[in-house]
Amino acid sequence: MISNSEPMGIYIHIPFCLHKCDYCDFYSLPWADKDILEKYTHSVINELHLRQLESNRPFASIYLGGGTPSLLSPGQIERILEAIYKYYRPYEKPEISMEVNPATVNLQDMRDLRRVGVNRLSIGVQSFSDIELNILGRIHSGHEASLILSNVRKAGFDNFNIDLIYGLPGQTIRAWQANLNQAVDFDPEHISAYLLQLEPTTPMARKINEGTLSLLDDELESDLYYFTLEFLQEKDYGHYEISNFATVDRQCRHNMLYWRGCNYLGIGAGAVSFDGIQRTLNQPPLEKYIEDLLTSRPPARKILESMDSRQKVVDAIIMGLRLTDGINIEEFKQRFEIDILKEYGKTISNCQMQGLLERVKDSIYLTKKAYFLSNQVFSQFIS
Amino acid sequence: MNDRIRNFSIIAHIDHGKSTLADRMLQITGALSAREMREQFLDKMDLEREKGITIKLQPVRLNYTARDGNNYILNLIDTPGHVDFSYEVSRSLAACEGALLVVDASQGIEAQTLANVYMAMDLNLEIIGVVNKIDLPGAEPEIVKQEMEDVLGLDKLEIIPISAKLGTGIEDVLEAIITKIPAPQGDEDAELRALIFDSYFDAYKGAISYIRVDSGELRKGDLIRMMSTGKDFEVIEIGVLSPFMTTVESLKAGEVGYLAAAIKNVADTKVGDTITGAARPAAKPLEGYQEVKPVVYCGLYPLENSDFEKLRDALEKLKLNDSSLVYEPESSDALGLGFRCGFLGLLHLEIVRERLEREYDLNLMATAPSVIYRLLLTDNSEMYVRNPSHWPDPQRIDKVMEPYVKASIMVPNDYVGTVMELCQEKRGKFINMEYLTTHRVMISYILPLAEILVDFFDGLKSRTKGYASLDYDLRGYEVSDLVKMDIMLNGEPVDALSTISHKDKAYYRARILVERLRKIIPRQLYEVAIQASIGNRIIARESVKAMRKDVLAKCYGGDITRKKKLLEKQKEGKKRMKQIGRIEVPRDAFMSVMEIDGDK
Repeated sequence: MISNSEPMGIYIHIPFCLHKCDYCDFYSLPWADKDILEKYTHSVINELHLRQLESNRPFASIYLGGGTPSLLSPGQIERILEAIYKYYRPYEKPEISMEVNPATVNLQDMRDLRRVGVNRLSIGVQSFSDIELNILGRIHSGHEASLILSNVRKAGFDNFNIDLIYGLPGQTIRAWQANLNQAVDFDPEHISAYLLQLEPTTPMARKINEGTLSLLDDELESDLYYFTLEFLQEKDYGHYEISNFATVDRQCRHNMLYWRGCNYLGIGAGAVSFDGIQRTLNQPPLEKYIEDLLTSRPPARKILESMDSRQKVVDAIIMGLRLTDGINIEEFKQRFEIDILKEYGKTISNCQMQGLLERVKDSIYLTKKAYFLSNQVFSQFIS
Repeated sequence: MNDRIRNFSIIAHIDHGKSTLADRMLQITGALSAREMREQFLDKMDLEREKGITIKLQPVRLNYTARDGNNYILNLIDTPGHVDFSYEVSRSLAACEGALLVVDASQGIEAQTLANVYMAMDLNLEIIGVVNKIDLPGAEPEIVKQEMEDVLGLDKLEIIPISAKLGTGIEDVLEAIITKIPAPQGDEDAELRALIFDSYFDAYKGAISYIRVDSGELRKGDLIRMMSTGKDFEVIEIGVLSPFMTTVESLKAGEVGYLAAAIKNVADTKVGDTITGAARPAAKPLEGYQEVKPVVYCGLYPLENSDFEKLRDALEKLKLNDSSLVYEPESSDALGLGFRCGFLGLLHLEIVRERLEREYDLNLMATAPSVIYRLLLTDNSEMYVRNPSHWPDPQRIDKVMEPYVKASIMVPNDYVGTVMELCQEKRGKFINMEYLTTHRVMISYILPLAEILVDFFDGLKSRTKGYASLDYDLRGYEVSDLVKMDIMLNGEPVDALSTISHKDKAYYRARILVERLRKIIPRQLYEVAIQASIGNRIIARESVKAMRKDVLAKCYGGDITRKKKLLEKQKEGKKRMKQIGRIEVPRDAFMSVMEIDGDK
């Protein structure tokens, strides 16, 4: 049984962007005037207040994501963090991460963010090449990104992540290597390297359908992926999740909560919460969200999934196997009261036969070959 | 009161407006209110409505007050127009005294129209000519009337011009039915004889039969006897379709209706059988129908092996509604247990498969269709092969024979060249060419049936801008140079993919087939080698490269639900695959072997 005191994560969604990127389909709005940002800050604080009794778990992490959270001023971020500390109790020293878009912050902003309590930045660089950034529809240049990155330490951060995207139309291994090289030159503690995967409704997906852009073939994408693994491991980054790399003890604690099947509280329009049974969505649109919260009505929530213990186990397996350490069978048994070797013995041995899964002592984990084929494993566990 | 009854059916080529004319008659006679009316009313199956064609015959009773002031009962039996279903047409014609012949005013007579008209003439039916779609800009009713007189011997002055779409001329048609088509003969006081001309299975009432009473009277509660089996049943319900099922107390000589008699065993109500009274049986049955023989065979296999019994049950029930369907169990190394089924043509095959899947909730795989080959063996014995995987060792074969048809193709004279070219490509032998009118030509060819089955009709249509029409009938077996071609996946032969091919075409077909399979078979964890062989000789090969990518790069808290749905979809997709050895093959692969020639 998962104990009631197991810590949770708090996710704050800031659904504003100056410009929506061509590959993105997260809920966000391409405008943000000062008045709306202030009203939204207020609404988020109200929601934190209204939902304080939902869970008595302590929080081990706060993650400010978006959208573009760096559109809020450091003062607004400070008020949100204060509200969290007022209504919820921390577990040890929580990780407080915030996503920043290189075009939206300067050194002073970052100093202020550090001062108000943010202790980890995730910087949406994506690429250092202006040609590639243009394809992605990003609003910043490679130079701007470099400038911000060189100021992160000066601003007082000892923990930051660089987001990169590979698999862009026309990209070669050499071009990707140049991006990786520039990223590691800034000594980030963490690198997320994502394969470009497009939801069908995005502008970029449309261009691909129309034939004005084309994606790389599977072989090259796979080569780029495994090149990344080798490259970063050589630079002493540990590969700990399919697309994530970190120096020692610098894995993203917030995301680890997701992959370990823990609870999380999602605050803000479009945020998702998980209370151990139900996954619920705070329903957009933003206007309605603000209207409700400013009059102290709880946000409209939609149940995405209501899970029995079986479904919960499946979730935990397919999320847990994303981690390179995989799943510890004993720990899993304690947390979910199920012996996966018994329940999924056939699936596991089938995956082993296919060379996709390995079992050593108390753990099962994906083989290296299986990382880029992991859906082949996960879909076998889905019932 | 026989003299106030008229039984008739409608003969027409596909798309000449038969179902629309039926709709109008339903409306004008008040059988349907405006609210109940929908297009193609008598095409009840979703499949018919989707494809815009009639597959099943469908009886309906209309009450009509004629200009002479009398009330008449008109029994209309709507019939299919496609060549595969001419058997349905022959049965409905046998239950009628007359037929409307509907011809499109811009298209003129088509090959299939001719075949059906001759069938009606053979049965001595009164034929009323109707020229439809006179409202269309390209309509040439006078030319078409002349054509009907020249080709069919109808009096052009008596041919009725109509527009079923607009409702023009419909009453003239109804009047002609009354004045020209004779009332049914048949003595109400004689022994009961009723012909079963169709039947289907109803989940609540059991087997329902459509009948035409020839003589005597049938009453609810009567004990009836099936003359072919001698089995007796009690009549639970009788009624007419007007067009909805309406119960009546009795059906008398000349009337058309339905009958439910708690018949549990589907085989006990045979289409073509005669029903008589158990108390006062008739001495001789009515002339039934010739049993039709299927010309195309294919294997139908449930995707889930456990559905085998369900498929057997479904076939049994469907056969009741489709007496031309035949089936027998067979097994395949690749596909497990299934049935080898016989059909009247490819459209029939497709319809049966779709009906099984829709009406009986089955997931099916069909193997490549095959005609029946006749083999003379070296030991002087003879065998018929319906399933290519039963082809004997070539050493044992003395002669191979395949079925041929005589095809009649009707086409405007501008297209004669292109039609002949197509027939040559399909191994055809020219017989003759005849001008029906100054610009309409009937071309006759002897062709292997196997070549007609594979998209011949599509080829014909596309090369003649849709103007050509086709009719064919079987002409027996002729010696031919045929070989069996096998397909191997990673070295293992897949029996369900074996096909018979003419030797001259085997290499070409093999290349196209392996290429097609390469495109259809999704990437697997291992490379898949696809080879085509004749005997031990590999004549074509391709490979499906190993899968390199199947990953969700990003998966966090907010989108797990959606990402899981993707995985579930993937899992569902796998269920549509057939596992052969270690290889997952999409179920459509087995059908795809037939579509080869369409790739050109």
